[in-house]
This record gives sequence, C-alpha cells and structure tokens, in this order.
Amino acid sequence: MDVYKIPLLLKNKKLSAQKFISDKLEQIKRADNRYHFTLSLFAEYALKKAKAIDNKIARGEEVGRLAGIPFGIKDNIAMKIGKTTCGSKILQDYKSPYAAKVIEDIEKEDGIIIGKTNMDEFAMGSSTEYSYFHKTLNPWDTSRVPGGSSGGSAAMVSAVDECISLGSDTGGSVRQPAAFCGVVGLKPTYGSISRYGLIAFSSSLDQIGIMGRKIKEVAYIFDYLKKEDKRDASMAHPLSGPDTFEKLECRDNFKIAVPYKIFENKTEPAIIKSTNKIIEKLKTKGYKVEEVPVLYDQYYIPIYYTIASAEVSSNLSRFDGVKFGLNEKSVDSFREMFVKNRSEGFGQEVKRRIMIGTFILSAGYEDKFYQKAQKLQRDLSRRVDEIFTSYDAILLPTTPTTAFKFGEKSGKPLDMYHSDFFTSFANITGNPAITIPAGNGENNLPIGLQLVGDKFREDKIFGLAYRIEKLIKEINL
Amino acid sequence: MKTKNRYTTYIGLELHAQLLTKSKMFCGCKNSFGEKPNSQTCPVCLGLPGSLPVVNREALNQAIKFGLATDSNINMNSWFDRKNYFYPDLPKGYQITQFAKPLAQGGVIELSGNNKVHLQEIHLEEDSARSVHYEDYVKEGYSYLDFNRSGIPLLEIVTEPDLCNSSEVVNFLKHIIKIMQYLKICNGKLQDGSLRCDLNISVGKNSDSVPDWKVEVKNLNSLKAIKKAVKFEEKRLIEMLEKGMYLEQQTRKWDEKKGVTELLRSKEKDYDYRYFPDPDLPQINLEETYIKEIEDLMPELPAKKQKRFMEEYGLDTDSAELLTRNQKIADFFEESLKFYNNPDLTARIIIGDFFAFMNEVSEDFCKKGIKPVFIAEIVEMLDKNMISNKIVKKIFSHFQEKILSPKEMVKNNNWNIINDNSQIKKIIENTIINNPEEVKRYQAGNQNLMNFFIGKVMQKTQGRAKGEKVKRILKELLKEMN
Ligand SMILES: [Zn+2]
Repeated sequence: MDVYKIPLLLKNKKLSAQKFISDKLEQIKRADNRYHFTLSLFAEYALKKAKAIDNKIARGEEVGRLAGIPFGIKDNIAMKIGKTTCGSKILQDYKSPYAAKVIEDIEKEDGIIIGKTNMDEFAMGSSTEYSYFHKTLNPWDTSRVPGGSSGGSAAMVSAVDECISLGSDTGGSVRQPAAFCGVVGLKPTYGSISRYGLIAFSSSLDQIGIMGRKIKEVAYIFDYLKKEDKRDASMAHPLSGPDTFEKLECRDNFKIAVPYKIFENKTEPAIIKSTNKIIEKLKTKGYKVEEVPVLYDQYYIPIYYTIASAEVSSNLSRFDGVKFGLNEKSVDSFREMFVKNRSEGFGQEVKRRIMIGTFILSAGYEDKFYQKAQKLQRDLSRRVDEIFTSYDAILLPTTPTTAFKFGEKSGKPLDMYHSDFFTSFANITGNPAITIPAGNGENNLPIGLQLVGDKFREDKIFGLAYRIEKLIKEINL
Repeated sequence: MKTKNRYTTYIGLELHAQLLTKSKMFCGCKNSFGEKPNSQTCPVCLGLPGSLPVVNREALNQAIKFGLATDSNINMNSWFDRKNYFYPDLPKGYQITQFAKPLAQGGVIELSGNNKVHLQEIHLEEDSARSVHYEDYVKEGYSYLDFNRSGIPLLEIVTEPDLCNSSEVVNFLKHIIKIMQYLKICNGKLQDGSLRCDLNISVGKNSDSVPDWKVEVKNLNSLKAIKKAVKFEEKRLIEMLEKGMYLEQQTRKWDEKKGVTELLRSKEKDYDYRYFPDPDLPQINLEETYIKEIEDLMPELPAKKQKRFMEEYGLDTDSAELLTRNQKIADFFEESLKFYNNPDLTARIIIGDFFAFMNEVSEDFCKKGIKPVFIAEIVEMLDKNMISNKIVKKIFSHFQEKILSPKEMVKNNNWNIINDNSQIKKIIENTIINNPEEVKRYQAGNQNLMNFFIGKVMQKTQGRAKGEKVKRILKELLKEMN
C-alpha cells in the first residue's frame, strides 16, 4: 500500500490508525533489532497520536492530509519529544525545547512520527559508521553500510514498508544512502523546505530530503513539506513551483541531458551499464536524450568540502560546554572548558572537518578557499541554469559504487568523500535531485539513478522519475 | 604643560549603541531592559541548534537613519558576517556582525568650531549575553548568564582618530547622543550600557604622523569616566614617550575607583576571528526609493534645528543650542510660541526658570503636566507688564505643589503688578519711616542702601511692584526728605 492512501483509508474507516500503527511499530521493532536504524522510538507517543486520529474520525471530524502516515526522522531535526542527538556524544542527552518547521507541519497534518533515525555524527559521513551510538546495517546485505549520513532513514524505508523518512542532504546524504538501500530519495531545491530546526551542518548546502519506496509517495509528502517559513531567511519568498503529486502523470515529453563523460569516474561498471540501459530504453520510447558537456567535475568535491567544512567549523562552535557539553566541571578556565568539552564530545571525522574548516577560514586564506569556492559555485550554478533552458532533467548515476563493506572506507576519508561525487553538485548549485532504484549490481546490491532538475521544478523530475520507475519494470537490469 | 604641547593626541572612538527596536536583531524576542533574567529568550537568541536568524527591518531602518543623519554613504549592497570566537556569553560561538561590507561608511559629524569628526563605518550587529558575577542571587564562585541581552541590535560606530583631547571627546559624545535621541534610535545611557564607548588613543610628537599603535581603553561607563580616562592615558603615554619608552598596541581597562587604567592584554597576537559571510542570511540589497522613504520620515536634526532657531527666532547660539539639545524641549519651545509669539522672552523663561524648575532637562518633563500654553501665558503677562520677574519665580515654585494655568494663579492670588502709584508710594513711605537709621546712612552717601530699600518694598508688595518704578519713587522721596 502506498502511503498516500493511508489518510483516505482512515477517513473511510477501512483502516484503524491504532491497529495500523501498532502493527507498524511491531514491524519496525523487529526490523530495527536486525538493522539498528533508529536512535529512539516513540511507541507510546505514536499510539497516542493514532488514537487521536481514530477519535477524530469517530467524531466525524476532518483529519490531516498526512493522517496515519508513519515517519522516521533523522536525528538532526529538532523535536520536542525524545532527544535530538545528531548522532553525537556531545548531544547525547539533548532535548530540544522546540520543534523544527517540518515536524510542526507533519504533526499539523496528523502524520505520525515513530522515531528518530541513526546518522553520521552531525551528518558528516557517507556510511553512518560515524554515529557515536551504533552502526546501522544495510538491509540488503548486513555486512555493508547503508550509506550516509542519513543511513538510518534509508535503512528504515528499505526494511519497513508503508513508511516515510526524512533525512538531510548536504552533499548527497539523502540520495547516496537511498541508492545504497534501494529506495527513492529526494533532495529538493535549496530553500523549498524550511531548515528551521534542522541542526546545521553546512547552512548554504543543507536541505531536508524525503525518502520513500515510490516516487508518488515522496511527491505526496513533498507537497506538504514545501512551505514558506519566515524563520528561514534563506528560503525563497514566495515559494514558486507547482504541486507535484497531482501532476505526476500529466506530462510525457521530457528532454533529458546526459553528461556521459562524467560516468567514467571510478564508477562501477554495473552502475554505468544500468544507467545506459535506462537511457537506451528512454530513447526507444521516444524521449529526447542528448549529451551535454560535463561542467567543472574536477571541482565538485573541492568546492563542496571547502564550503561545507568552513561552515560547519562555525556552526558547531556553539557546542562549547556552556549550554551543551559533557558537564566537565573540573576545569580552571573558560579555555579549558571549551577544549575539554569539544575534545571529548566530538568524534574523529567531525574534528577533522572542523580543523579543515578552521584552516580554510583563517586570516589570509579568505580569497584562496572559501571565496574561490563560492565563485565557482556561482559560475557552476549559472551554467547549470543554462542547461535547464533546453532540458527538463540531467540524468546521471547517484553514486560511483554500490554499498561498501563496514570499515572499507572509514579509515580513508578521501575515498569516503568520493561517494559524494555525483551528488554534491546539486547541493553546490541548489538544484533539486532525486534518486530512484535502478536495478541491482554485483552481489545483488541496489543501484541508484539520479535526475537533477531545474530550481523549484521538482514536478518535472518527479514526472520523469515516475515514467522511469514504470519503464524499469520492462528492462532486465 | 610645555611637554604636553610638543605632543599631539589622537583619539578615535568605537561606540556600540543598543537600538530602540521593539524586538531583537534576529528574533522576535522583546528588546527591553530590566526584565527578569532569561525571560526574553527563544531558540534563536539562545543559539540553540537548528535555529536561524532573520534580520529585523526596524533595526536596519534605524541604522540607515543614523547613516543619513551623519552624511554617511549607505552601501546599497552589504551583508552580515560571522565573527568566530569562543566566550561563555556568546551563545553560537560566533557573533553576527558586518565586517567586509558594513552598512555605511565615510560619515562626518560636525562639532562647533568647524571641528569635523569622520566616521570610518557604521554597521549592525548583535549584542552578547550578560555575565552576572555580583548580584544577590549569584552563588559564591559561580558566574551566571542572562540571555535577555543576547541578540539586542547594536549599531557600531567607528570614528577616525580625529579627536584631540578629553573635552572634544565629551562634546562629540554629547552630540552623537543628541542625534540618536532625536532619531529615537538609542537612549544613549552610558551608565546602563545602552551606549558603550571604547577609546582608541595614541600620542605622537607634533611633527610625526598618526602612530601605528594605539591603546584601547574599555569599561567607560560615564562621560566623567571617559574624560578622566582620556586625561590619564594621555598623561601616561606622554610620560612614557618622554622616558623614551617603546609604545605598543594594548587593551586597557578603566578602573573608576582607582582612577587609573589597567592593562587587560598587551599586543593582541592578532586574534583570528575567521570572518566569513553568514550563510543563513541573504545579503542586504537596498534601493534608492527605500532610502528616500526613510529619509522623508526623519526629523529635523539638532544642528539644523539650532541653525533655524537662530535664523527664524533671532536667538543667540547658546540659547539655540540649549533649546535644541533635546527634541522635546525644542518642540515645547515652538509649541509655546504658537500661543504667544515672543521667542526671545520665551527662550529666556524656558532656559532660566523652567530649566531650573525641572532641575535639568529630563526626558519626562512632560509628565509633570506643564503645558506649552502655560509658558506662553507667563511670557504674555511679563511682556504686557502684568507681572514682575519675582512673580514668575513664584509661579514656578507653586508648580511644585500644583500645576495650573499661570493666568489663573495670578488672578486667584492677586499677583498682578500694582499699577496704582499711590498705593506703592504709601508702602515706600512706610518703609522709609520704619528704617530711619538706613535713611540717615543713605543720605550720608551710602548709595548701596538703595537695594536694601527696594528689597524691603518688594517684600511688602510680595513682588508685585515693578522694580524700576519702586526705585524711581524711592529716589524721589528720599531726595524730598533731604
Ligand atoms: Zn530570541
């Protein structure tokens, strides 16, 4: 059952929210015992919400448009219930006194938040191995990572049907784990979903994303989360772009740009093969598919890591032991308090990025790194905009590899960073991008196909993705 | 003294003015003073993870007003930067400020005597939390943080080192406070910290150019302290130079009790704040029409008003300055003229009796209930010879008890001038009869006693006789007696 059907079934009394949610909780608990994708589970809260929905329906009252839909929320999105840990030791006991905008919206529409999902500490990582708490296993192969940083969210949707999860995507953190776990993952246009309450990693690249099993499910949720919020000044005001769900099947004459040359980048042959097969199928179905030149591909990773590290070094400064920290009391000075809390509270990868970012921002280097990266970012964004004057989507793989083994890359940061190669450019330019399952490669591991769209035109990539989702059934991938 | 004359002092100021906006710089919390600690806070000003700043338009407008009032060039494009450093009162680990591109630059403030002070820049930023170490509720050995102050909009004003001595500094500050009060953007209270002033001071031989070092002096909580600190530091630096000592960049703290500056830190090892544009905030892009709209709403500024008072009402510089020191007073003066138009006399009454009555020009004089029409009535009665100056004093002293129309007061108390000459003559004759000794001495040549007689008569008439008239009649009578 697709999740968007749940509210209607409830309304028509064909489904009891309490029954559905208690069954779902059982299913989640069983799956979680195997794959460890949650950091906290709100069973009592979810059942209470379900009961409230049933009561509303019994009284003949209207219920929200997300009524009964179970949500898993990445643990860097602030909620008033439970803890908001960001997968970090320094926030292991942090309870947020306020909720993020997306949480407000889900609750307003009677969506049911089941739990918080595991993640790489402060969303830095591509395997969820950098969570302070525990590893999350890939449901397709438990010896492999689920991807990251939103690995918990991806594994949950992969292991449990009829649910949605939210993640955050700064360089691919929604799309890469979605691809690794064989689910759909959307990173919307920068500024289309409020970041208020999303604990910042890289403010100018972060965007809350949505994972589900089907395009239609993700489109349905996206329409409700894409909302103006005056508290996020980096959002577009007013928000443009049509609703996506209703129009999913309206259009069928997409023009597709393919930067073929970029495929050859330490990319697994199976991934290239799968992508090409889909392209061929699209061509035979009469879609206009054309090659476009690759832009600045050697700079994606440097631009991304320069901007993201610089920003995170500043964004994480607030965790200094005054309000957040490990309550280190045996200190003699402010300096010692800062150093002790931060040294103990942050993990290796976080420290690495803070140090890189601190260096990047140090006096004398402004124009060498951050400003230069921003200039390239603007240039690239402009060039990409040009592509969208002639095309509806750019098609490329989501990741260079399928899910890798635990420990395979955790000691090799540069290899790990390469996971973001195909995804980071949409963050750099702010364009929307979606990954859809595109068959399985070696060892039966899922492959992702990525579509990047014009800004605030998620409807186009949803539309095309929806077609491809259907076509894939006809292809032997 | 001679030593001092061989040196030039260069003083620049760094001012932080808390803007009088309804809400804070980047959140909706109330911007107010004296509330219960940590009662005016939210995720944004507490720097909670996930919260985001949004620029307060009112603060932006107030800053633009100040920029316009000081002839600064408003940058049509500017932005906020993050200044990164760790300190307990800084909830995010960075302060949102403007560094690379401030809101305005190159302003100038003209002081009397053609003295110009140039403004390097004006920019917006947020205040930090307040550390509390002393108050009653603080436990021994603990420091507390009050985040009510965190995020209050600050206007930072940086001047060039155009000031040369303590009185120039004080004049400049008085002037800048006046401008801010006129614009209603800051109440300018140094003692409350709503206006903070750091000094940058250096001293060099007259022949040399501005030195490449400066001493920064902090913790100055009153004009008096600033004056003393400038003098102290000037003297200290000259003495050091005289001894041939090497001077370097320093930050010092004024100790009010000891009356000295003390070293806080020497030569800052170029602390690196790792400034970069705040990615949470869009750039500020202004349009000419927007600035024009703000300009149109601006009040007449003190310097202009003072000039107009001199031209329009024929006032002298001092009176015009005194009357325009405060917008309320200036308005009060002009309002009063609408009821009775004698600018000169009105200025005299307001500056003299009224100021004395109010003790000093305070903000809340209107609350006392003295209306402009009352001043007009007094001026009219004086002008028309209906009352004497003595009675004016009486009216003001009656104001202490009850505020009512001076005309009524005069009528009720029968204070109007005695115009009946025979009545005055009678009183004078009695005075002469009752003071035979003095009369003798006067006639023997002691002319000073005239004032004694006048005083006596005034006492009798309760100030209702005109001094000149009394003097004339007295002279006549004493002459007749001779
Ligand atoms: Zn606040």
